[in-house]
Amino acid sequence: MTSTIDLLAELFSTSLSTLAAENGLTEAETARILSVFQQAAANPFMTEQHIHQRLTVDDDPSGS
Amino acid sequence: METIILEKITLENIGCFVRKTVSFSGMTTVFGENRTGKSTLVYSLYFALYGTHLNTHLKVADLCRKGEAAGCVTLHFRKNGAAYKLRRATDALPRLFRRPLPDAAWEAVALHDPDALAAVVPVRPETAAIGSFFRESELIYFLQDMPRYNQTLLQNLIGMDDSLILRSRFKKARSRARDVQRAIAAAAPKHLPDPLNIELARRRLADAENAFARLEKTHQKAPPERRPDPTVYKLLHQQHQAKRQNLAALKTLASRLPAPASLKEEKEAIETRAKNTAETTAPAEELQRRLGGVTQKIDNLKLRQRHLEALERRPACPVCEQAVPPEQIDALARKINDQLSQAEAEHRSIETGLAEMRRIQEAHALDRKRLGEIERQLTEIGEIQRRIQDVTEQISVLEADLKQFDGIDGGVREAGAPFEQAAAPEAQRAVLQEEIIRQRVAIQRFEDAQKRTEEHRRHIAAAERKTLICTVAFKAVEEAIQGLGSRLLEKVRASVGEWSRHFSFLNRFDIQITDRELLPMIQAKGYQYKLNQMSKSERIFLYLMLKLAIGDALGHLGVFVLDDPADGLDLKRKQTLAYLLAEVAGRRQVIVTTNDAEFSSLFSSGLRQDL
Repeated sequence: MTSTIDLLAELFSTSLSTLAAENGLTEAETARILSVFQQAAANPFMTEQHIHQRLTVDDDPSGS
Repeated sequence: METIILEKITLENIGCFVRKTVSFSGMTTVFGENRTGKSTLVYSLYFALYGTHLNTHLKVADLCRKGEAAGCVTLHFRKNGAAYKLRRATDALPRLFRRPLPDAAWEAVALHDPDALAAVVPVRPETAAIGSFFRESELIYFLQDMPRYNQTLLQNLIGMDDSLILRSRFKKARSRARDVQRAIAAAAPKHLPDPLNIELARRRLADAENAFARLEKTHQKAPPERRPDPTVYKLLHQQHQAKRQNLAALKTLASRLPAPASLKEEKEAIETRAKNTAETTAPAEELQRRLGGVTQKIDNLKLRQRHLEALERRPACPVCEQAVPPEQIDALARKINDQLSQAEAEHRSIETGLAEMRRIQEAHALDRKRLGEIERQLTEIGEIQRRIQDVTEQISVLEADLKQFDGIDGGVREAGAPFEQAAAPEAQRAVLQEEIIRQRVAIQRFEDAQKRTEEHRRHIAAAERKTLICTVAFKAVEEAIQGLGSRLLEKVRASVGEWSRHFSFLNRFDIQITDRELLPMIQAKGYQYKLNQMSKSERIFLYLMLKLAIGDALGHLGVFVLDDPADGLDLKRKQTLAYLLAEVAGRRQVIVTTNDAEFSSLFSSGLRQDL
C-alpha cells in the first residue's frame, strides 16, 4: 500500500540505480542523490539552490 | 491489501455534538437535516485516523464544539480480526488500544506515539483523502473548476503537483550546475603556451649559461687590463685647453687694470682730504642762514636810508609834524651808512664762504665718484685674481688626471681601440646575463601558466562531475515521474475496467460510460471538453468511479465514506447512485451521509443512523 510519493521514491531509486551505473557514479554519489531526493520530497521549502548545494557538496570535508 | 472495518465512532464536544455515538455496518446510511453534523461525522472519521482535518483549509481546533477548548473522538475498528480502539483528542496525542479476542482486555498499542499508530493505519492520509473519502466540496470543484496547469485528470486527482514541482527543482539545480560549469570553463586561460617555445627557451637558457660560464672562466685566467677610456682623455684634454685659454684671458684682463697698490694710495688720499675738509669748513646750512639774515639786514638799512632821504626833503615828523633838525638827520644817515657798509662786507664774506663751500662740495663729489670707481676696480681686480687662482687649480687637477694617459700614444688614444678591446667582455657578460634572466622569466611564466591550467582542468573536471550528478538526479526524477504516471495509469486503467463492469447497469439509465470513454478522459489533457459534454450526474458517477479506481491503485482504507453525494440528482439518478453504492458495498465498507430522506430510503439493506 503506497502513496504517490512512496511510489515516486521507489521509482526514483530504481531509475537512479540504472542511471548511476550507466554514468559511472560512485556508491557515495548515488547515496547522496538518493538522500537529497528524500529530503527534497519531504521538505517543500527545499529550493533548487539547496538541492544543488547538497548534490554538489565535496566528498572530502577538508575541501581539498 | 490490509484494510480496516469501522465499527463505531464516539464524538465528544465535536461539532454540534456534546456526545454522540454512531455505529457502522457494511453499508451505513447516516441521515440528518442540514446542520445536524453529517460533514462533522465525516471529518471526525478522518481526524480520528490521521489527526488532521480532511479539509486542508481548516484546523483541527475547528472541529471542537463551540465554547469548548478541546474535543475527543473515539473510533472502534477491526483489522486482521483484532479489535482496535483509537482515542484522539484535538489537544493531545492519540492513544491506540488493541483487543485480540472479544473477551480480552484492551492493551495499549501506541500511547502518544503517532509513528506507531501509522503502522496500524494502512494508508497515508493524502492517499486516504483521494481513495476513501468523498466530500461534497471536492465534487463541486470537479464539476465546476478547470483543472490546474492543464494536467491530466489522473494527475490532478492523485496530486501530481508536488512531484512536478520536485522535478522542476531538480531541473533548476541541474541548470545551476551547468551555469557553474560554464563559468569555470569561461575563467580558464584561453591560450596555452606552446611547449615547443618553452623547450626553445630552455635550450637558449642552457646555451647562455654555458657561454657565461666559459666567459667567467676566461676572465679568471686572464683578468682584463683596465685601460683608461680614450673618451675620457678627450674630454679631459678639451677641458684642459679651455681652462688654459680662460686663464690667459683673465690674465690679459688683469694686466689692463691699474695696480691695486696705487689705487689704495689714491683711495687713502681722497679719504684723508675729505676728512680734513670736513673739519675746517663750516656747514653750508649755517652760512646760508647767516646770508639770509645779512641780506634782510641790508634791505632794512636801505629802507631806512630811503626814509631819511624823504626826511631830508621834508624835515618834519610824519606823526606829530614836529620839525627835525638837519644835524640829527645827518648823524642818523651816517650811522645807517656805516651799518650798511658793515652788513654788505659781511654779505660779501658769507658769499665768498659759500662759493668756497660749493667748490669744496664739488670736489667732494668728484672724490666720492673717484672713490667708488677705485672700489669697483679693486673688487674687479680681486674677483679676477680669485678666478685666476681657481682656474689655475683646476688646470693643475686636469693635468694630474691627464698624466695617467701619458702611457698611451697619441694615435691610439684618438682611436680608443685598447679601451674597447678591454670593454668587450664586459658587454658580452651583460648581454649573457640579460639573456639568462629573460629565458628564466619565460620558463617561470610557462610553468605558472601550466600550473594554472592544471588547476583549471581539475576545477572543470569537478564541475563536470557535479553537473553529471545533478543531471543523473534530474533524469532519475523525470523517469520516476514518468513511471509514476504510467504505473498509476496502468493500475487505474485496470481498475476502471473492472469497476466499469460493475457499472454496466448504467446502460439502463442511458449513461454510456465505459472504459473506452473513461480512459481518454483520464490521460488526455483536453478532457475538460468531454467533461463539459457530460451531464452533472454523469460526471458524479465518473468521479466516484475514478476515486474507487485510484483507491485500488494507490491504496484505500477498505472504507468508502461519502458526504452527501446525491445532492442535485433527480430520483432516477438517486436510484442509480444507491444501486451503485450497494454494488460498492460488496467490495468495501460504505458510509453515506445525506439529508435526502428519499435517497436514504433507497438503501433498504444497510444500517440507517439518524442524527
